[in-house]
Amino acid sequence: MSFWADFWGLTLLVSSLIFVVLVAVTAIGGFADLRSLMRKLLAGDEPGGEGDPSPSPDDDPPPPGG
Amino acid sequence: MNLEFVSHFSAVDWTIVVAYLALTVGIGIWANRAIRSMSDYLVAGRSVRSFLGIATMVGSELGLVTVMYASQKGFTGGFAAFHIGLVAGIVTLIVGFTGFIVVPLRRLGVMTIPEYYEIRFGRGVRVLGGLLLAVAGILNMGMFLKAGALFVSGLTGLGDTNTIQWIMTALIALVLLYTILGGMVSVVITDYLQFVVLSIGMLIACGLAFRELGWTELVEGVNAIHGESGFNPLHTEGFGPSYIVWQIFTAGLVSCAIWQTAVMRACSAESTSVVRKLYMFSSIGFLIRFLLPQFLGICALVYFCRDPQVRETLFPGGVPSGDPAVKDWTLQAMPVFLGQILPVGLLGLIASGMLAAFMSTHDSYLLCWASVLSEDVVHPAYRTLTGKSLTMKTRLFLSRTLIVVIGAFLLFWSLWYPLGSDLWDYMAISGAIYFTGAFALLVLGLYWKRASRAGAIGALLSGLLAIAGLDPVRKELELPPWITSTHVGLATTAQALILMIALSLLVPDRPIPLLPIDGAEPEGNDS
Repeated sequence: MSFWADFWGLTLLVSSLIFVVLVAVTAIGGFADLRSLMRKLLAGDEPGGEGDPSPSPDDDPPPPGG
Repeated sequence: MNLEFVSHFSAVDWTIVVAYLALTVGIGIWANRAIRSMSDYLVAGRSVRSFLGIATMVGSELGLVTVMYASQKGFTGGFAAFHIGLVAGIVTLIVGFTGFIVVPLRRLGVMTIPEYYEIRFGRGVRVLGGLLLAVAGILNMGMFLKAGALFVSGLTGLGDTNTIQWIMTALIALVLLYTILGGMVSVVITDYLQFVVLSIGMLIACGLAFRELGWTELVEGVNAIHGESGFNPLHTEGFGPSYIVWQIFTAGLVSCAIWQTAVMRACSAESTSVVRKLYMFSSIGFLIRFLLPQFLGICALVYFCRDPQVRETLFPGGVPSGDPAVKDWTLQAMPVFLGQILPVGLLGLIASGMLAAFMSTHDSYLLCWASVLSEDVVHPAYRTLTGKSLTMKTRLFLSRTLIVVIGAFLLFWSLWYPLGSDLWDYMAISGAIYFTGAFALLVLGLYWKRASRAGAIGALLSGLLAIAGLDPVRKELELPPWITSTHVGLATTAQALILMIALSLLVPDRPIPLLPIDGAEPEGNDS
């Protein structure tokens, strides 16, 4: 029991700490993403119509010579 | 039943709740301005980037219902229940690293899983798979209202059933309003808000609960009530190995890579690289969405069992009570506990976050199942029968009408169905009607070229056997007690895989090329 109690205590502590950092980073970054999303949708910049896969800064670069 | 407690919930808390909900709904309705196409409505124009994707994915999954069923598991299982969150987090991380299932799906550019069925196995499989998915999904969310009602009455101390039912009906009406108008855009915005408020609220609540009880009392309390099985998940008197395997599959793989609402997030992502990031970072959310509520459930267990009379009511003779009213109360224990320990103001904030989470989960799920029915059942069936497509306006109208119809069904089902088991176990087995077959179709369809249409139909239909895992059906079939819903779920999964392989080998297809459709990601984006 002692092992499992320590193990779950440590799991809870470490996960909670990581979660605190994740919430802080995601809340700030998410707000910026949200503004960008609304700007894009309100501008209606969908050249390809439904499901336009327009590239973004998050995309990986295209393969060389493509 | 000696389980009546006075909550500290006050008029100040009600004011906070009303103001917060009005703000959330207002923003959701405002999002209607951004809807210009079906893609905007269902997947927010596929423009959701990493941080927002993580926030909404965790926000959508960290709902009131999740908090309720996870805290009930902590209450009934002790610390050993933490294994559910641990496997959920680890499996989501592995999916993020490998891109297993979700990256090929995003690359194909599908909006729903049945859409993938059509590309891979033909339109008939899409219609059948869509129908099963919607039925399982709607049944799966059938207990959400009940959980919400128990939360409201537990936290606020409201005992009048009529008042609670009116509150829940009003909340559903608000959700319907802004989901119908704003689609995925409003879902994304409200999920983001809810993620921020609920995450901070949960962390504070856990801190206060910990301060109230302390680690030593928690460990000793769980040991006194559950013994070794309250810590060791492998212990046969507690969860046991077969339950852990079932959780690796359901809480792990299904929740993040097969369940339609989670896959919709992957489909909404800008690119496959965003999908991977989304899953890697969301893994901590998938872990914590179980861990924190389970911790609150454990705190509630130890807190209430300080009173020997309460303990005897919950565990007469040292074993869990079989009384259905006591079983329902285990679901309510966490909010009742919060109503006891949280101060005025914070109680209102937590209630706001939780109710917003309740609405957020409903909007995601309502939109999801309505879009599956309209896009994967009605529209393809109409195309097959008439040779023509429905206009975008008609499809939007259909989706919105279906949202209302599903909402009305949920009101009826949550009042009628006797739960009889832990909420999480009900959800896993009702979802299994869909995901046992879907697992076979996704894994074998994406990674095994010889998977055929006949195999797909066999696997999908075999998933229906999971109904035998639902408590009333098990009683009707007079299954022996050692055959649990876990065993039914695992057996159905294995059967779907075997059937799909066998039928694919016996009845092969002519080769069908995997052609990307509208919204597919261009080559080279995930190099």
